[in-house]
Amino acid sequence: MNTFMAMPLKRNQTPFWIGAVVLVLAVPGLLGGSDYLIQIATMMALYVVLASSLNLIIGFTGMYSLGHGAFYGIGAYTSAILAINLDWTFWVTMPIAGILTALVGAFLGLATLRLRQTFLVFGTLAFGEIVRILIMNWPSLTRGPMGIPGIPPPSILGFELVSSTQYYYLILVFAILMVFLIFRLYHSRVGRAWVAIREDEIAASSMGISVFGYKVLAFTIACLIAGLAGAFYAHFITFISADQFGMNESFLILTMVALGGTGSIIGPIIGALILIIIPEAFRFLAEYRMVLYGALLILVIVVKPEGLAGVKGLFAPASGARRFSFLRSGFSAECEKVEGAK
Amino acid sequence: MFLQQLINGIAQGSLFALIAISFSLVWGLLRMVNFAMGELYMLGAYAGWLVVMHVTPNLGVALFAGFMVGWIVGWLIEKVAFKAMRGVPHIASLVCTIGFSFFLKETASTLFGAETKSMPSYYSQTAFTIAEANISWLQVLMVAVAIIMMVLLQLLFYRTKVGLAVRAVALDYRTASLMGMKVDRVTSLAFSLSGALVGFVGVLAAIYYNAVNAGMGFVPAIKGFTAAVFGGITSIPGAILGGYLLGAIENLSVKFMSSGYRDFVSFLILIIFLLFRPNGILGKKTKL
Amino acid sequence: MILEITKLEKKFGGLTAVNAVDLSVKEETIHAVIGPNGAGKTTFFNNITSIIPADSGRIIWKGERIERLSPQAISAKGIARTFQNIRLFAYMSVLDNVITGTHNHYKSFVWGAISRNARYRREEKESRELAMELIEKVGLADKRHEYARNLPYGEQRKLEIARALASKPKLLLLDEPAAGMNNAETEELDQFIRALREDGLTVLIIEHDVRLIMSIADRITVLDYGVKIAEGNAVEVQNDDRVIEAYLGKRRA
Ligand SMILES: Nc1ncnc2c1ncn2[C@@H]1O[C@H](COP(=O)(O)OP(=O)(O)OP(=O)(O)O)[C@@H](O)[C@H]1O
Ligand SMILES: [Mg+2]
Repeated sequence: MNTFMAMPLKRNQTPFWIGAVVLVLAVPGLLGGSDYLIQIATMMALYVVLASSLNLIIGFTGMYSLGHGAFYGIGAYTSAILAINLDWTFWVTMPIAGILTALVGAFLGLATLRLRQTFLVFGTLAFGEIVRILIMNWPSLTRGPMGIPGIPPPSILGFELVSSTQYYYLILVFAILMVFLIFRLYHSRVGRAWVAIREDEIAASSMGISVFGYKVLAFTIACLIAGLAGAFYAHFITFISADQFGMNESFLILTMVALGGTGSIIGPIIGALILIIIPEAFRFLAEYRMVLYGALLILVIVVKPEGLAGVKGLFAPASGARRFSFLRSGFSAECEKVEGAK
Repeated sequence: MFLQQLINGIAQGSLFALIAISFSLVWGLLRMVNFAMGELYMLGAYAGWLVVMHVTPNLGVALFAGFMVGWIVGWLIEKVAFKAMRGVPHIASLVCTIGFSFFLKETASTLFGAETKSMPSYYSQTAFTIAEANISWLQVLMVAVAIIMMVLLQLLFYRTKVGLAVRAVALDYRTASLMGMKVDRVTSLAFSLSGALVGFVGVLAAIYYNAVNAGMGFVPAIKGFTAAVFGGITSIPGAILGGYLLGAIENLSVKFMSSGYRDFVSFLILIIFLLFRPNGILGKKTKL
Repeated sequence: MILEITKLEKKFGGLTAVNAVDLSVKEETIHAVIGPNGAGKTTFFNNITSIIPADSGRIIWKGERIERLSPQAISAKGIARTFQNIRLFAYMSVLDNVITGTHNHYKSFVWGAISRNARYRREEKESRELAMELIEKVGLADKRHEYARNLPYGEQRKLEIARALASKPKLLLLDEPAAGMNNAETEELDQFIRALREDGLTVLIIEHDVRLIMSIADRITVLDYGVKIAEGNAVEVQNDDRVIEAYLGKRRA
């Protein structure tokens, strides 16, 4: 299966995608209308969006982020607060949530994207925690630890969407749109610039690609999509609180991308599906299922570090040689030899 | 009041400093971060708790148990997440340790239950009072133990052959291996040691905060990392300095803002230092 | 003179890798930079393309100072390069590698990519055609869907040249393009570089293959320990005492 998934280049995957779309459209029918199962399917669609958007950052451009849960949360809170306090309709609050999240993302990107690798992970992680702490300690706006209940459902042409099947279709359409958008970006001049940066920043910059600009762009678009997803989530679940968007959420999304495979369109989709199914499928194991989930993650990463259907492992080149002194106070290792090292 | 906060800060800073050392140990050798550090701390705490509740109230034994558990699990993580994955991208290792973090946390909460365990209270009685500031024996002990640990580490690194090997590998991995050094063994050893150190800290923390639960490791681990970055993750003296400074700042900041923002300060320091001075207070200015 | 460099200098700690080098390159010539290992040739190229900016000195390109520009701005000015330790986009196809080289010439952005509007389609078509043309020129047409990393070494070098050419440069910097090529391939490269000059390109080339250099270079500059020790045509350089000493002296050529 890897050939067509891992070759981003040869087009004509249309039949596959059409088949996939038909299948997901049929899901409520196949599940026999069970509310519980349809809600799980809805969450899957939502996580497909989240994982795919994080893949823009990690898989395409080769950066890291452990703050994605926070962006998801910013979107959810923005939309919920606007809908409740100002009584605006979902179709207004949702785009605003997306745009606001994108702005925050762009701002964070401008600040942190010069950091590399591990430091970027911690920078985004710290940002995510700061967002969570702010939500918890700003009760006049966010109701703090109590969370926001009673978020109104969206309505289309006067019909309120209330049944889980209706929601499923709403979020499904959203997910398909987002994946399609990401797909088109990937197979374009923009996507090539991202991948070039992932593969080799120096070569990319000497091809005329503005490395920093495209990084910020990837980060911003990913945050935009995460913010939109947050809005959809808030109005679907109707109750949100800060702990839904904490570190664990960011871990989960990152894990989906890493497990499913980075840098391909299908990878994060597979990762999202698997990681939502597993805890549900192993429900009979009761509390052991989370243990199993952790063990499975370790196993997959060790056996197949590029993920199940990834183009390649995440960008960082294997490094045996880049270790440096630490026991002296400070280190004087010159910045790595950029060029000319053999 | 100020003095009390400062004393608490120094006691807490000892914990941060030791965790920070663990981070910089691993960072120095592998240029990577072990995300499961907080869970090693948590396991150490449980080990200490088990010993105190079921074996002996002797604190030395409890600390030793925490140390050993940290050592063993740290060793295991190195084998799986780093050694077996040499040559694959960094983030795979990182995600693998995230997997461990999750796995260990869930295992602990399955084994020990979700409720928070508490320690016997006789460790935390007030020892003496200076200018209305209470100092407990435990605080004295924490600072003393931390200093002893740091001195031992310093001796280990600068007075023994093993220490020399660790420093050589950290300095130049390739040359060290070309010179016939058992790089893998050294890495493994340093990794286990870092695990043991946080396991040890876990026991101290369990007593100090009088609470043991599966999720207890996350925040201290991030703070340990912050302390390391703060002081300079590339140097052990930097990590120590960062630990104490962070402890002091955090405890004093409570005077100025509501306690809900306590962790906020650390995260802010982390971001600011990552952005503007990624090599910390003691580190030289180099791009990371 | 299309490119004029004066007093260029770059230090790495205590080591002066490029030491007050002056160099003038005439339009539509092949200008070689040679010198023993570690002479500072690659660093010199890195300075010109701003990948490692020089500490001091001037670089004047078509009458305009460029030493402060970013690598991408320099690329936009029409200067392209290859790398000594090949820097292809390993997990991109051969074709996409070359198309990426055309980045500068097009404008379509996020909206174009999503809407696939007329401009986007025109630009994609154009860049694809140009890329295919170049790929055929370097003889990789039937491998265009391979990942770049799967090509043998010699072909990777060719691909890098094709990618550099895709940006339609006026000046091409080649860093040891013949390294890892066999005799037949080197001969091909010789012809190829000559053809580029006929097409109006200026080529600045670093190369250790003396035969190739002597055959194609219009002018040769010799560096040693970061210092320019000689300059001239092939015959002049071959008979220069300092060059002979630098190559035959204590260190190997
Ligand atoms: N980024 C860097 N940091 C520190 N020193 C460097 C760096 N790049 C090059 N050097 C040093 O500068 C000197 C010149 O290197 P350079 O790569 O420019 O030589 P070169 O002429 O290209 O050699 P070769 O023929 O081997 O490619 C060498 O001593 C090298 O070790
Ligand atoms: Mg060179």
